[in-house]
Amino acid sequence: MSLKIHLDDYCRAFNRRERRAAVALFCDRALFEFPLLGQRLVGKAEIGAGLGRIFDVTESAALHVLAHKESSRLILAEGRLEAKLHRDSEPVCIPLAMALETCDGQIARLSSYLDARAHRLWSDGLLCAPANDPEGAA
Amino acid sequence: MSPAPWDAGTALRAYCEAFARRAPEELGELFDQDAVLDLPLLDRPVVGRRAILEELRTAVRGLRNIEVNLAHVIGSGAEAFAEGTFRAEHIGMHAQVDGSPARLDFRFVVVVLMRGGRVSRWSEYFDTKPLKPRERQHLYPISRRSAYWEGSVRAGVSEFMVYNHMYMPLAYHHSAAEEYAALTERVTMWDVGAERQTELRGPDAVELAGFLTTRNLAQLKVGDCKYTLACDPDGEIICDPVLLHPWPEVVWLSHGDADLTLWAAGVALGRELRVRVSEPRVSPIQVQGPKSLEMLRGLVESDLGVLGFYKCMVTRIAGIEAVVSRTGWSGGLGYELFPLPDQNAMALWNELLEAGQALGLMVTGPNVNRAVEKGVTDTAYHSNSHMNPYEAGHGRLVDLDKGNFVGREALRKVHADGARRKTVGLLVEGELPQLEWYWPLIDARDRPGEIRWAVHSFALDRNIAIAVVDTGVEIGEIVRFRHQGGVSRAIVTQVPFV
Repeated sequence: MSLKIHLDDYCRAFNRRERRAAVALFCDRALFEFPLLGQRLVGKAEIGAGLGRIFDVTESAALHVLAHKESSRLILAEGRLEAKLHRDSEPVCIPLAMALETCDGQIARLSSYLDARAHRLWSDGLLCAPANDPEGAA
Repeated sequence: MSPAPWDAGTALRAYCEAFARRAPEELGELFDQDAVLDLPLLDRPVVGRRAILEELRTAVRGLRNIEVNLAHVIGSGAEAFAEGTFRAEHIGMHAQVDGSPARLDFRFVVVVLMRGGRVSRWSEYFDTKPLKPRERQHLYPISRRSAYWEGSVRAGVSEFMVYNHMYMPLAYHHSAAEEYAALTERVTMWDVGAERQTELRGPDAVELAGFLTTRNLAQLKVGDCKYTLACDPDGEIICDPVLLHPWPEVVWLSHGDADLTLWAAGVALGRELRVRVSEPRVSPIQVQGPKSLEMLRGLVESDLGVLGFYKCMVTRIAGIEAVVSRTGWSGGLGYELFPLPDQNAMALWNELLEAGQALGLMVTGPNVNRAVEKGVTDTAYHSNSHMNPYEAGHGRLVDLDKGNFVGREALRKVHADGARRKTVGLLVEGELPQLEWYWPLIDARDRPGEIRWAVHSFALDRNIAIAVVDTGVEIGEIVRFRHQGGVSRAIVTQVPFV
């Protein structure tokens, strides 16, 4: 099965701000890297909290994949992130690349490559999921 | 490296190998004539093989111990994507005061497109935030801000020094090698609003200037500039201003980090001269580099091409009234612009940015690496040293016969007895930490000496320094000096270095 399906599923859930659906795509110990969040997130709980933070601070956020190449275990894609933060008056459009790996039909790693310097971090402080929300879907 | 045509996967691996070997010519060969190189560290995409080669040449000159590892490469023919890691050490940039080099380590994704067997697009994706974690240093309201503050912040300033009670930008987001290349090959713009003017205005302005400084001003004409020295009564250097005479009865002493206006006002009080001493709201900006004339020619109302070295004119730049002088701190072609008054400073800044875009203009701080190579010292070299002009290598700037001036008697004695110290260059062996205070010479014969400036020379590809030492120290002699990282050896030489 093409890994592109996993990438498309993730982008669709992200763009629709469906945190629970996005988190469900990842395996239990998945690695999620997204520079604007400032740290590596591991596991569904942290990933869910991180996505929640993104959705909290943005009015809108959308990933667009423009081109990709894939092997049997990895897909590399380039595209852009368009986002409008509550605090900003204008939306931003940031070039980005993504690397996605799967394990047993779920996303094992999703690394986003983009230059966060120009945009400051979107999040300050620790990204901790609530203790009673292991699925990160609170 | 095999000759073209290449497929994308081969080109990708060849690029990484050549980069690690610091072989820019091989890198350039990989690219198509109209190729685009797009990296997050660049201000804008670089277009064309020649421009890409220049950019990559600068990049590898500023890096060493480079490792590029490709973890995954997907694709081959006309298109390839890869994920990998880059690790290198910066040259000429210290991460710690002990001299540890700043590192450039990051993970990346690269996309390579081919056309006719050569790279037509090379796009890298990575986060530069961890590479430059500090947005800028913290500031305090007791120090003033330059008239170009807004422009400097927009340009990414990260480090200032306090100079004339004002924040002067020193470092932006480019590497030392990139800034050096921009200054020596293209054109740079410096916010030196902290370089203040001590204005002497009135019929006796030139007379007071002559009393405050060491050179003979008898032949001074409107439009002249002079590099000169202001000394204290002991003959020790207070600062080394550039004197400008832009209008009759007006002299500016454009000075380094010293309270020269207070000093001049105090001296004037005791001399009953018809002159008013003040610090006007005039904020210079330096445009330096081989393309500075080309950049400014279209903006300056007068013919800038006829302005001689150490001359100034009153004109308009982009419609803004200004004094322009052919002076500066680069040791090469360059100009200082003084918009009148400094409420127009940001308007001028924006016009200059736009005019320089096509020529690869880079906003930088004053480039100490280049200044030391060219032997261009300043107030920072002399201060806290009890240095007189003869020790500083500036004996030619002292005219003991011109009439009375501050420090003349003390300097007459130094001249008659001979200076005890002199200024020399040092070719340093090995690495050096950041110079934050002066490093003493270690000498078996107990001869005095201290290193007062130390930098990496990109022209010589080694560390160099300028020192004030005992007059008995000879050119070609090997000396040792102590710094926070230990002891280093150096060969004594002359300045300038290049």
